[in-house]
Amino acid sequence: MVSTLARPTATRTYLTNATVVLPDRTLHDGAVLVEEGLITAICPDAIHGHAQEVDLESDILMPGIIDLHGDAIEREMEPRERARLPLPHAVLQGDRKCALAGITTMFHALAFVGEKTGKRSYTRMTEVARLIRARAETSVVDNRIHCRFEMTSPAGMPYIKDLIDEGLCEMMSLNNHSPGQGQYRDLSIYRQYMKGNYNIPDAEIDRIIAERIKDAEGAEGYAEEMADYTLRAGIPLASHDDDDGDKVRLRHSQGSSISEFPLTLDAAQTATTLGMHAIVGSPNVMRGGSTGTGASALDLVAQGVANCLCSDYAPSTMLPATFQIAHALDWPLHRAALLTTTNPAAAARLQDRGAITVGMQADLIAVREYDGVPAVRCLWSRGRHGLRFY
Amino acid sequence: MRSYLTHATLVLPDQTLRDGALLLEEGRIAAICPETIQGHAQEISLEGDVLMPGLIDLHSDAIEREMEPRNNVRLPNLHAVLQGDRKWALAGITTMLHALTFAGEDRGRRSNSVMEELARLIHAHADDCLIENLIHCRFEMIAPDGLPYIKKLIDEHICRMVSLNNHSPGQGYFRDIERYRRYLKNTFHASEEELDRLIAEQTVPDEVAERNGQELVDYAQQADVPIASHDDEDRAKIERRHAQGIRLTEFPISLEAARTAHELGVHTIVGAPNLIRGGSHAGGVSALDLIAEGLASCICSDYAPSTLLPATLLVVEKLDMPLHDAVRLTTANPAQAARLYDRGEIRVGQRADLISIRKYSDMPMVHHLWSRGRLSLRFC
Repeated sequence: MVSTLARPTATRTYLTNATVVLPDRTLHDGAVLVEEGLITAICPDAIHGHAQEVDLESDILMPGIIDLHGDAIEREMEPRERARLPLPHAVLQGDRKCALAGITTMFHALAFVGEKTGKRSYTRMTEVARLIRARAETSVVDNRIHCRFEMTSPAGMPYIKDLIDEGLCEMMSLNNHSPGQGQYRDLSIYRQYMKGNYNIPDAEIDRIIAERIKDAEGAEGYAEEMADYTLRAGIPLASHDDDDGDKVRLRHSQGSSISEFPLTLDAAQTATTLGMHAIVGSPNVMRGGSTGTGASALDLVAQGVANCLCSDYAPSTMLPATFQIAHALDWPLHRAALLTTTNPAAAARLQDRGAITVGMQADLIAVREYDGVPAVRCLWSRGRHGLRFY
Repeated sequence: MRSYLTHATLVLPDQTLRDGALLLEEGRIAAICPETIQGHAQEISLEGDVLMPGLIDLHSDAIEREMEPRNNVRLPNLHAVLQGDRKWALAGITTMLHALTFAGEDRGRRSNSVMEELARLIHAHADDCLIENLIHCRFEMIAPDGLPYIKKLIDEHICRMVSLNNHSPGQGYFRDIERYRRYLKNTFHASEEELDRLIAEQTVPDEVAERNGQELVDYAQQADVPIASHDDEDRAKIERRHAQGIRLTEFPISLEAARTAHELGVHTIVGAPNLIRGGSHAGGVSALDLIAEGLASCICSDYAPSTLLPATLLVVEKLDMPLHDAVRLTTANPAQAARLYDRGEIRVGQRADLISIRKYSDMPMVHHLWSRGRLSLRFC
């Protein structure tokens, strides 16, 4: 006698015995009905007709994670310095690793830095963006493009404008990594960075700093142009590494609705007061700090001046950081989960996802803790069972 | 728990069989294409997908990237172990030998004590993991203070493989001193004077390094732990290692070294990234050339686990090799080289470590993974 393990193609799925993370509470022994890719009922009294039941054995069922800024695809392209792998491989692996991390909507943050910057070159990034879109059909999660415009690299603008025109770019950020700005506001940090990463003599660094500062002269004009183009296309605009309240006000006046990695409490407070979304990095939450000289990510969350997390460069940290916030701040899980689901959905203006409510897209993850470390056990993307660990 | 896997393209040791079936019982392969099934078994139809042994990776340091996703940004070790485990499963690996480098004290993530702690953690969390994670200790012959750490791990049966590495300037990978200088400069951002000092410090006379190496060889042999040598540059080095009883060479640097290994019946491992990239990123010999000439018997993932499966299929395509022959490079041969005799082939009685794979726009991906007969991962 042979029984068959049901193929995961049923259009109705009934997830039972779950600890369900709702927008305002966490429900024990709950159930969710998924039909045609949408959430159609929460704890229904009765199910009519056939539905494939999945017993979640008390695992936590929460909305799939929405990551607004992650550049981990670069690591798939070059797992080791100068060891470049084929792009189709990188794109496919990047998608699967997002699923593994519980991310159902991924904004790949592609940096358009210059033509001679290897993996971050304009042509390479354009190629990656197009390939990600072309492979959407065979992807598990919803992979989207976040173009990072370097305002000191105006030659990148035409490439980004093309992607906007083609409907490929769905989020934009204004970056300025020149010395004297943002994370390099303190020139000695820039010096350290150049010396540490490139081992350049001091005199040479002085020359580079002078050159970069000169390059940056027209930067604000380019930022303005890029911002206008982005807003006209109806794409959410973010500013990056804002160093203080004045910078945030300037960006807000240009139409930015998101502040990524605000560097100071002042910047984060100003962004929040102005009604912007403020994003901090989940690796920083996990590590209990910040990579730059910025304010601690956990402090900004605790003070209510950061409302979203992003993976930055480590997708696998989004889920543990969510749990860590709940633990460290003694918040219920559903409150911490807003930071990685509902709030980033609002920031990216994705109204169809980010919460377990009737009518939402069924992007869901089932999570179990192993010795206090949460890991994804199942993932559904648009109601489709994409991944399951047993 | 019995599973019956049907409609599979079965990769057997000597042939690939269409529409085959496997019966798994108590973690082992109980029958291949049985005529009837007595009693209850859960059927999974593989719809024609390729079903092959799980991959066996003898050398991967990818866990370091889980510990430090960005240089000097350290995440908790347990996070690295559990996240890593899922990634290795995703890559189709059912047995992973984590190549942990015991480089000395104060070597960041490669410090002796950091690596020892990691080894113990991997071992202690075996039950929380999907695949079998084992420890391969890389001994630096110029850093003898790693020896007591490795010996202790051997005593406790945590260390399942060792390798002899000599990263002294002028040896193996760094036989070109200028290249070593560049490496140090880029890694440690040292000034010219510091570089001179570092190079002098690390230039250990050959006889001293060899004496250290022999001490580990004796210890490992006594404990029946397989030994590999690393980055062997020529015939003389392979002959010397063979005389010491070593039967496995990782990343031979020259054609001559690989040829000597082949003549002496020594297993040769090449890196999957080298195959995918169409050459070494470090200026070594081409892995595909070695396989084409029958001079490499195993492929390992080196630093990129996700390349192991694509590399296996790339060999089929580029060399027009039958699938079941290419699959040996990442399953049966590494199993034999590491003396893991209970796995690596679809054969009755072997451990049911299996993967089913499917192609997406020409890229092979794991669809199901069974570890000891247990379905551990499924992509739908």
